[in-house]
Amino acid sequence: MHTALTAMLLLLVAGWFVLDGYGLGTGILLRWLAPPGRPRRRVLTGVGPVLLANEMWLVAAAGLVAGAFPAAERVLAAAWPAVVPGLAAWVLRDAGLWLRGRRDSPRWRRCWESGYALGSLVFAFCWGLLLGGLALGLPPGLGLGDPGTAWFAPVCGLVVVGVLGTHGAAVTAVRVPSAAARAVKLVERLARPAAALTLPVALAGLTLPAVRAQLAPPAALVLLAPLGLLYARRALAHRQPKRATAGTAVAAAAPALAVLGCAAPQLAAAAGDSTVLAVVLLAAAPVVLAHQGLLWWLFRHPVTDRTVAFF
Amino acid sequence: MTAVDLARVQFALTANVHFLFVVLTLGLTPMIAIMQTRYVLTGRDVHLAMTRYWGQLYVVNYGLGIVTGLVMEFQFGLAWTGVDRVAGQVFGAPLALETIIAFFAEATFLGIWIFGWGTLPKVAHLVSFYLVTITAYASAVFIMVANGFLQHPVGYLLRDGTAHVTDLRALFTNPEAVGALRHLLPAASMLGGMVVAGISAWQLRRRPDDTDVFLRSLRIGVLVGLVGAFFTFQYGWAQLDYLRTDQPGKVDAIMASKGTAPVTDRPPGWISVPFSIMQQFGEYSAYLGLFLLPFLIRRWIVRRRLLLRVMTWWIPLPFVAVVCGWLVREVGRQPWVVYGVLRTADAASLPTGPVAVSLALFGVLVVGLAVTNWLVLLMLARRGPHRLILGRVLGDEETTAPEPAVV
Repeated sequence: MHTALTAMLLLLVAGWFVLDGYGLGTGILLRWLAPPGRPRRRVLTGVGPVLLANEMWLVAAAGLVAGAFPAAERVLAAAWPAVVPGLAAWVLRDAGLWLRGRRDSPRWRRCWESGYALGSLVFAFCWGLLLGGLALGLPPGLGLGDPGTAWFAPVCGLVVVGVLGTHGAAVTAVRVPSAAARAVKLVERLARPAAALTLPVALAGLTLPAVRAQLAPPAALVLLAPLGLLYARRALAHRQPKRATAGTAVAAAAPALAVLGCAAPQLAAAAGDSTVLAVVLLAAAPVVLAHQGLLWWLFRHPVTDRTVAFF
Repeated sequence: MTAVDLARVQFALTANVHFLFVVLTLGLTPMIAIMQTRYVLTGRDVHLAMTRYWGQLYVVNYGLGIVTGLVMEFQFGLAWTGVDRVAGQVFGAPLALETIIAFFAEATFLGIWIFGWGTLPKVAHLVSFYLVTITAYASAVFIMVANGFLQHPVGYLLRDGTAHVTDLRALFTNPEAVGALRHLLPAASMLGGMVVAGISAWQLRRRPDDTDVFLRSLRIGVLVGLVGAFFTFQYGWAQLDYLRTDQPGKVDAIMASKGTAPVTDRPPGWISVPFSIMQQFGEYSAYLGLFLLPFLIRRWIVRRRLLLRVMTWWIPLPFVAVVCGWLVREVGRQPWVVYGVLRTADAASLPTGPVAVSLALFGVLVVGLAVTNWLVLLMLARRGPHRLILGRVLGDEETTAPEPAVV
């Protein structure tokens, strides 16, 4: 039962990175994906219908931690230097998209687009900080105060920003035809540097004794990040944008799966003892997957003039 | 101020802003479901305009409910780890059920509703809104069960300083949860009804040409608001029955004459002020609703400009009343965070520095966004039912409202 709940938590977090990672990536690259005005609105209309449902994966993951792993919730307090700004950035990201289209004033729109972009960037970076801190075994202040480890969490932050940015561009290339050309160019330009950053961070992290102490076989999953990015670049070179999104999706989920995979035994040990709750939550999983599947199926078409826009 | 005080201020601030938006969401949903059902049944434009007009206010309002809800969800793990340490296994259970069963589905079907206009078959589109309504109310149930446990812990056993669920049914039938829901859900209808009636009254005064849309909205608003006010009033007093034994300190603070049990822990005495504001407001609202009833016949209300003005100025009052209600319920529980089990002072986790930073950050963000969102709602409410944004496709927008290609 504990294993199943842990697997469900990993699925929710990985699912969040793949799905909402698309929204964050479009925010990080918004400036380069489309010029202001109508072209930018089209890029955001690609995100619009799925935004709420995507972020629910993380909301549900937090709910699952609260209900099934209450002892693990102290991670949030211990990791406050990543959690406080990350949460504020999340709020700003959502508000930016929600309010952007509400007034017919270019200044108003630019202001909230910046909120969406800045929120996405900081949110992704903070997730990297959190993952880096977890890989270090959650030292006080995420190891930022210790000269030996201070570099590690921020560089992990950059890795997450690079990976999600590439992922956002790859998915935009499929969902928003009017921005596809720019998006493809961005993937071509970003995939290699992002992959190049991911690999040395993973290797250099191994030189830190604190990271070696946490190490377990799932850590190898982090290698899927550079591989996924390079695969995506190759797929685009062969004009196969859908395959490219599969590559960047694997890359987006890989760092979180590697870190949380290593922590899985501790998570399973921290699980609560209510069987009824566990059964209900596990039974809900297929229902959640079904309505999420329905949403993505309904909004699978690329953005055209006939697409309903709200933001 | 100590870290605990700062953490309490942050919680009160985010909880109240969240509550103001969520109560309006809960109040508007059933009314919009009724409007859209009438549209699907009759196919008349007036019902479509009503659904889209109130629907877009509902959606814009919903956004702030979500973002403040995010802060609420993470705040427990961030600033109140004591609650998770002692009661996490019990208190977390309804929260986990809420996010995974109710909120997840609500957000998904809301996305389908907003972006499915014109592309989904009418009935399927209506069903998506019914699912939004059902899951919104299911969320309220789960949240009040979690809150009810903090007010009056039941269905658990303390082992080694940690509470374990022993009786899930007791947790869900907790009188503090059921009683509060009976009071809160009609209060949401009352507030939603008064907002709809007040905005419609403003529109009737300013734009006599849209009487069809707004006279119908006003009637629905007054009726729903009146029924809501009646039940809020009745179930509010009913809560005293069990509060006398469960939380004697609260009853003693709000009306000393009604208390019977001995009082050991006293909340701050000033909660009697919000209590009396809330109670008097409920009473006057019920009278106003009854007085308005005869004017709903034919078009009698349209020419009663003073009455229309009163209805518009009435809009902020139910919001004040729900904040008062929150203060009575939550401050009235002090000094306990889990009543009789864990004191608030023992539940906070972060040192003063981080709490002050997070209070400053979230304080500015949450209040700033709330004010901005209210201004946007006001602007959309004033614009009337002609330039509706909900359900427009990219193409219409770009042909009817030209904007420069590069700004």
